[in-house]
Amino acid sequence: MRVTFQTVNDGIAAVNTAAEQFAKAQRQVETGRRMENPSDDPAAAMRVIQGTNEIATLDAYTRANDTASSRLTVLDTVLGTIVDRLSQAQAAAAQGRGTTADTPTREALAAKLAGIRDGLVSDFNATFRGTALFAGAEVQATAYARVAGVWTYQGDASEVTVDIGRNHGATISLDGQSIAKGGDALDVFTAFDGMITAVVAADEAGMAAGMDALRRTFDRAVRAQSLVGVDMQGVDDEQRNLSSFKLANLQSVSKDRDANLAAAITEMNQADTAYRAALQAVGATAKVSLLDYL
Amino acid sequence: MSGLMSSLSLAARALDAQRSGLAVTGENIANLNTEGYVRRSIQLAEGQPGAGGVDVLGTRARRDVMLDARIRQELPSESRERAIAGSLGIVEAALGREGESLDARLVRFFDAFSSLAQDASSTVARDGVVQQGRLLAQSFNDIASRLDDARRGADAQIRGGVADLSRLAAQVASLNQAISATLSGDAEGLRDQQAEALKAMADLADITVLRRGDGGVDVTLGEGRAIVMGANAYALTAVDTPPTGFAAVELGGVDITNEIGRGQLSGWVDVRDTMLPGYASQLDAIAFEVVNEVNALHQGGTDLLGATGNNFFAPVGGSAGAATVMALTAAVEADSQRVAASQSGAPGDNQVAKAIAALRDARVVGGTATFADSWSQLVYRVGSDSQTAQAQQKSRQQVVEQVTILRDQVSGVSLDEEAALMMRFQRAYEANARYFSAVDDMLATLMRIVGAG
Repeated sequence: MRVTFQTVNDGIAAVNTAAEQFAKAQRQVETGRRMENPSDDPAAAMRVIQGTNEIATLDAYTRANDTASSRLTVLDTVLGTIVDRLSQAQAAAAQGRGTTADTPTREALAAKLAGIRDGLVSDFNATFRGTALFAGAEVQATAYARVAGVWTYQGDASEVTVDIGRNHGATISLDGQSIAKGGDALDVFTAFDGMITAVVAADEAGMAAGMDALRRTFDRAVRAQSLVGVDMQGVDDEQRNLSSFKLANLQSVSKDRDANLAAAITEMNQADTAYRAALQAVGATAKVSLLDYL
Repeated sequence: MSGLMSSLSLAARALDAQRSGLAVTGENIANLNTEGYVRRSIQLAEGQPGAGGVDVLGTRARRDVMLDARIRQELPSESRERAIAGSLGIVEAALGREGESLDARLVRFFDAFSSLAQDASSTVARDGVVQQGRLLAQSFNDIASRLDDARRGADAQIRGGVADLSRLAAQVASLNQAISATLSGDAEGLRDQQAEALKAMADLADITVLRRGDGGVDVTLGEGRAIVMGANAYALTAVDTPPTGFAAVELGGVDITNEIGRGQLSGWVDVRDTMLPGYASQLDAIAFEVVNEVNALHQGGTDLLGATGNNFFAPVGGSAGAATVMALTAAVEADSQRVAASQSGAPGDNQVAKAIAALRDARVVGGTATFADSWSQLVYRVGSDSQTAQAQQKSRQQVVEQVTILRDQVSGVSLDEEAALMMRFQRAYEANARYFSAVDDMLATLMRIVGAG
């Protein structure tokens, strides 16, 4: 076989190949990424896109969870306060019943009941970050207000839910009327007003009717609080799931996307050695000539 | 006396022969780095009976026509894949990095609706939706534009390739003429140029070369269409074709674009007319579905001003070109209160915002894929096509390199060999000079004796 001067060019091609391998490994070390272009590993590129999309979806649900969690905590607290107020009101109303209470006592009880009612109105009109908690989807409305002397619900009957996971929602705004009134003819505030009048007038039947209304409202509030509790539990469970799903996806994406730094550094060293060897080989090939010996 | 004189003549011819040999060696060394140069060797023969000595018959180029033809046969396949790989490398860059391109924009768009669902009355969340919608549309526009640029780039390369092919055809025709005119003389230099021009033509297209008796070549392309016949070249032209304005390759008024099966031209044509339109069509399908699905839900909702039945994105007539024209409606662009997040019209109702956010998981593209899936399939397709072209190019390049090595073994210049030949001719020249000197001395001796007598 004749060895021609082309051998030098072949050697230069080998130098370029080694330099290219070195640069590729170096870029992997620099960027921490295994792939530079989809053609490096098309299937892995596809998996990375799907994986990062899934991670982003999980992140979106996690953010929704955080928002829902804060809001549910406030709802739970406010409902707890409502339940407490209703208990206090029932106790106060009970004191007004019978013949033992004199007029000043009844007036004092009436004042106490009015205070509890006002507190209750304030609870139902509670807001979180500027939006109402008990006005349904009318989040910018005041849930209950006295309009022309009549307690009026200004929200709507819908409940606002947010998606905290796939096929999993949490209610973040309640229909206040379903608690304050439910299936009753009058809402709890009107019932309070009637009961206050009955206490002052020692109207046993009126007080009994008012206490019944308070009891039913109490039951509805407790039921609403327990539903909020279920949602809170759901948020906690979902957060744990989201966290573990995200970890699994991160590992999968990392496997496809991130460079194995130890392997990349080793490849860089190997390419460096190959580069030097190729350079020396080219140098030796170009240097050695019969012309030197003639 | 006459014997000595003929010996002198023999020695003189031998000196000429060795000097010619040295000149050929010098020429080989001089052309060590000349592309396409075929090494020459001197042809010596024993002198004619009676005259003796050595005669120079001429120089011969160590050309292997079979291997030259084999290179021309293998090269178009390699160059086709090289052209495809080169063009698709640009397309890959145009698509952006995975997780940081259109997929990230889609994620942020649906995230914005998800945030709006958490507080449907929030003006900040509404502004976020409009902002992300605008950026998503721009992202589709940008990628569609880059794909179009890549098509125009491939078209420009086709036009350049056609011009090069025509120029090379004219060069080969001119060389044919020159070679036939110098048939009796040394035409090896012209043949070197001819081989190089044919190789360059084979790099562009799958030409067929037919040898002529006068040393020239005829070259045909595609379905046997002549582009060189002896001293005549037939120019290829790049003709604008409506509606795209892309070039069709014409020869004598006939469109032969689809007849070019291999070579760089074929690769560029494939990229321009098949691959890139396919990618653009897939991108358009995603954009079309995003616009339609979002609009369908948005139309069913009520905005903060109480209006219903409005679009979020400006409607598109069909899938073709959807990515290029995708944009927000002017109303949404101007006022984020026009975003319909609510079903009932209540400001806190988030039904529509939730439904649009949930589109991220909906298999709506072709009824089987989510938007992210569809985008990942497009990236996979481009990556896979590019990877295949790179692999094919490497494998075919190895074949070309092997054949080139075989050709170089025959036709290439070896410096060591030339050094040895140089020494050979030098020593032979020295020996012949000594012989000449010896005969000359003998003649001088004879002349002295004759003079003394």
